Amino acid sequence: MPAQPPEPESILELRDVCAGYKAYQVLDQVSLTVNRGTVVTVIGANGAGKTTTLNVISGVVPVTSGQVLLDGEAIKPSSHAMVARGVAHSPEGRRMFPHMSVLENLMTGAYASRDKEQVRADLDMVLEVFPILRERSTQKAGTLSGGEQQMAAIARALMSHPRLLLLDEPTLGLSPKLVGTVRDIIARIAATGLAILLVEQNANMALDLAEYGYVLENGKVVLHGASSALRSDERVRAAYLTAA
Amino acid sequence: MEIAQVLVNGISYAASLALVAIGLTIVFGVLRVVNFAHGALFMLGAYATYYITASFKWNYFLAIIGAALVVGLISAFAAAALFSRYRDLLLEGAVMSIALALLITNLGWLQFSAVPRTVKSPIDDVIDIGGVRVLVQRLFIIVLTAALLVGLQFFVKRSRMGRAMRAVQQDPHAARLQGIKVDQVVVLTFAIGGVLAGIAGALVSPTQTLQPSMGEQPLLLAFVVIILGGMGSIPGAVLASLVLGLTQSTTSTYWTPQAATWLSFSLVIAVLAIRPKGLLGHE
Amino acid sequence: MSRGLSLPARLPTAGIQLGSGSAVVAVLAVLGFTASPYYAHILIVTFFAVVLAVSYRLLLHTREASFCHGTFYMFGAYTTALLTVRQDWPFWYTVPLAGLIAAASALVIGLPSLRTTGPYFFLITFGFLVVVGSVAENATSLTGGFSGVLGIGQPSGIHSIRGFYFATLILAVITVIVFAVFDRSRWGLELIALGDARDLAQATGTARLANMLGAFVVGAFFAGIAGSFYASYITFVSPNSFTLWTSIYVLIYVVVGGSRYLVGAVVGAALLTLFPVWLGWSANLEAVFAAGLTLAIILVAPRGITVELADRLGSFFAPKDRGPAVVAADVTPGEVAAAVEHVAPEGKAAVSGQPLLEVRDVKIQFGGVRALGGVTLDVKPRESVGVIGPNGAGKTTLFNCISGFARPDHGDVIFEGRSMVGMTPHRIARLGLVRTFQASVVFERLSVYQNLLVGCRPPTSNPLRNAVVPIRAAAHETSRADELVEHFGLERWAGAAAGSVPYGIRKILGVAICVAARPRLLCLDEPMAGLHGAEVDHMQHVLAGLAQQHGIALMLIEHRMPVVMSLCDRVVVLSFGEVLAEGTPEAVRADPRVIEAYLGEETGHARATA
Repeated sequence: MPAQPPEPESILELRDVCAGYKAYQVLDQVSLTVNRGTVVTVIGANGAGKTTTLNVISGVVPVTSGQVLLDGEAIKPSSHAMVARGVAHSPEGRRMFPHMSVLENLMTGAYASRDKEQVRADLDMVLEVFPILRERSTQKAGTLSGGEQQMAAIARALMSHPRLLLLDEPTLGLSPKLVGTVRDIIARIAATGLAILLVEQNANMALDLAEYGYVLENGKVVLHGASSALRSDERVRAAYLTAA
Repeated sequence: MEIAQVLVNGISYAASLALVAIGLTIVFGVLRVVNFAHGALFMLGAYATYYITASFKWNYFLAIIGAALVVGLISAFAAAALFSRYRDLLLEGAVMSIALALLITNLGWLQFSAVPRTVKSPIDDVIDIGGVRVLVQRLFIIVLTAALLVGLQFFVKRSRMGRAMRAVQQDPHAARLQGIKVDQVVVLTFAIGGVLAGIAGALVSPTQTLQPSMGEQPLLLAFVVIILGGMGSIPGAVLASLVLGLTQSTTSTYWTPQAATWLSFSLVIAVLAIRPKGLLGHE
Repeated sequence: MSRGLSLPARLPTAGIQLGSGSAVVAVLAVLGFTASPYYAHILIVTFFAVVLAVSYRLLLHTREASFCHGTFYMFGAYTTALLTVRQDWPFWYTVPLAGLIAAASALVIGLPSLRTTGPYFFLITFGFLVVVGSVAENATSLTGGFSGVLGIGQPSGIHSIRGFYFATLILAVITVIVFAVFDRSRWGLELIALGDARDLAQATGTARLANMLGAFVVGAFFAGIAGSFYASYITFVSPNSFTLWTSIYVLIYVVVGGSRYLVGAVVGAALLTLFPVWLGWSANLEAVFAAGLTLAIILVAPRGITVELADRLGSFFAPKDRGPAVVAADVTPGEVAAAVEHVAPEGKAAVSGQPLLEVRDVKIQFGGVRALGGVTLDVKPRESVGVIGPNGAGKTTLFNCISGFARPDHGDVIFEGRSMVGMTPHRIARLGLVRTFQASVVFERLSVYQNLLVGCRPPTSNPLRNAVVPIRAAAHETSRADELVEHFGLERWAGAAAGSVPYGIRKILGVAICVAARPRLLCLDEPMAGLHGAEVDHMQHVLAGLAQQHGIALMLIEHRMPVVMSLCDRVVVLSFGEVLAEGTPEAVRADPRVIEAYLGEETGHARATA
């Protein structure tokens, strides 16, 4: 039985969203909610549509039907609008600007922010959470290791002083040890009260961090509930490794 | 001293070349489209200077600014109305820019006709520096270009918009996710390119007679410069312009002007054979 | 089920085309006798433009636009000019030489530049144009420099403008016929395939460099011949006759007229030459007209005049081309699957013996990232091996190394006893190792039937035959394609553009194209991606059939475990670029290391609650 999400107001909501391309639809009637200060995760096998869910929110993939609501009001998703309203997106594969220094990458994250004081404060905060970035601040981002790039990508997203962070597969291609480091960082960020929508292939870590989870399969939400319930649900394992 | 003469000629030639080439390379960088209409912008800059000085009777220096603004606006408009839809569509974008180039150049012929026009510059005298006779205009070109390059460098490296431009060049998708309006950046880039080309036209206008086809040669050379320097790279364009400019003036003086063309192109081919990305390219 | 199938515009049948073409030629022939020198001149100039446009268009099929077609024209012209004036050669002897020299120059510039893509090919050919132009201007002793060459010899037998008229008309007609033949041949089909999905074309056996270079060189040959006649016609050549804009105009002729159809090149060339010359416009007005028209076309009718017209009037012509079979009722995937199964399975022969494919300790690194760190695995004949693993594990990289799209830094890939490392993808495909791609599934512009034809290479490949024999008449290929259409249940969509059929059918077609290429090992990259429900079952049936009935070994990257379980004899698990586990699907599924790789470590880490 799916548990009810906690009480507080929702920042982001997808209502019966169908989305995709001319050739085929990727998402089929997906509904999810992210409430203030919570960590929500979307898990599922490859190709299930997890990244597309985030891309729909950022306006990269067109919505064919359904609604995307920010703070309870329906909007037409676009990156620009989202960032301006406090929703930051750290993309799959990290996508740092390879020929810019780490510092410059962080500053692009703050592009939408006009408040210099805030930006400076955010920069200090970010360098404190990720000390390795302080060390590497003048290095070209393309020369960083996978784990360092992941941290830089999260840091860059944080530079826009968001209320909600969309994190796309942060552990992609990382060794188990680094996965642990990234998990700790996400936990630490969540503890500051930032809402996070975490898309992950690594179900255990994701359910560990999140309060609530949605399991996607073939573009549909097949299961959702409190993560504690999902963790012990055989169906989660099944969605990955056998027929659901 | 001859060498000093050659140096000054070479560098001033390189300067105007760089101004045109940089515009071409930054546009390629953000849109991945080769803009064949760029030479026409150079031509428009020269003619704008002429009309501003001849008809409006402004002084030359103000005319340079005027020309820069006019051409910058035209370029921005072309970007917004036409080019923006051709991101990554190399063939379509090229054909479109070719058509635009043809249109502007030939409208230019029809409008301006072949009547030779010249721009009178207040600094058309020659001065003597330690035995070297140097055209003040050339010195002005060098100094102004250097100043512009410093300003551009500052803009690109230090400013928020400059960072946005570089972000779009390196990864348009990621740039978009940071809230950067990619289309706006493209238009701005075109505008900057137009401004630079317009200034180049204005600077060169007192040194040659104006013809509507005067943009062709700079366009060709600018292509060579950006291939040599690495497409999308501003420092590459500057470096390659210097190499070509100095090669040109050295061979013209010590050998023949014809050999200059040969040598320049052979140099380009040699560099490309070793390093297809160009000197400083990173694609 | 059919939602807006787009059929390639119904072209008039060969009969109608030949008929109308002959009518046009007849009219032009009559004009040749009646027209005044003024009008004859206009038409002659147009004929030259047509030759240039048509000969240029062949390479454009591959979506590579060269920038030096005018240079080949110039080579031809100067060859004739110099030989007749300096060496007193009779004109007719210089004609073939003009073509050959232009072709040779295309070979010289084509070999290095066609290895590059995108803007580089463009710009290198552009550079070539500039350099040659510069040489023409400056090598005064050779070319006469700016003043050019005067008094070029006239063709014996041609004494007047009328003579030239017919000579150039014949040249234009020959050119159109020759390139029309190429269009309908296997070569033309392969060029379009290369333009649509270059990697897929190569992975199913189509050579890239040879095909493209051939198109470039043959195009140059005809441009050279045209140049030869041109030189003689105007009796004088100088660098000014062949500026940058000559090459640019050729591109514009084709783009404005529409590059998809050969008649588009003719229409574009005629439109952009005829009107300005006829109206006596100055070169400048002509250019403004050309430019304005081009801009308008690109914005409003981007595929070109003939293509837009054809699509609108398409229903006008009776479909004599191979079209979709009329079916009484919707054929469901279930029925198709049943049909596929109905063919008596031979039963899977025991999988044994020498490995078909051996991957030995393959390592590859990109920048600082080690994508594959020493992968060893093998595939036996008729075996189905699944390759699974989390995202970023290196599965597609492995495929790239096996199929020639990436070169391992270390290790070997041995197929049927032969090392494949360093071979071009198309050669590997022809040796029996074919692969699919996640992104480009089919050749979208071609019809479903044509897609299959691309894969159906004749076992002995004769370039001349490939270039000349109309592919519809190639019995071997068409009968095989017919078989495949039936076998994969594609009758309904055979005539439709592959880009417009439902996604599920596209994926099946993708597999069919590979099967057409007669693989002994088929490497499928996520064949089920994007498929739902019945489509998955259908594809599964198809793939199972391949192994059982055709004895094709399969190697597939797949995420859907049920598929892997039922299709694969063996599963290899990749993680972080290395083989983590290997064995039967059941064994692998239960392996705790595999579970951990997918789901992540069991941490038992207590999370701080908000």
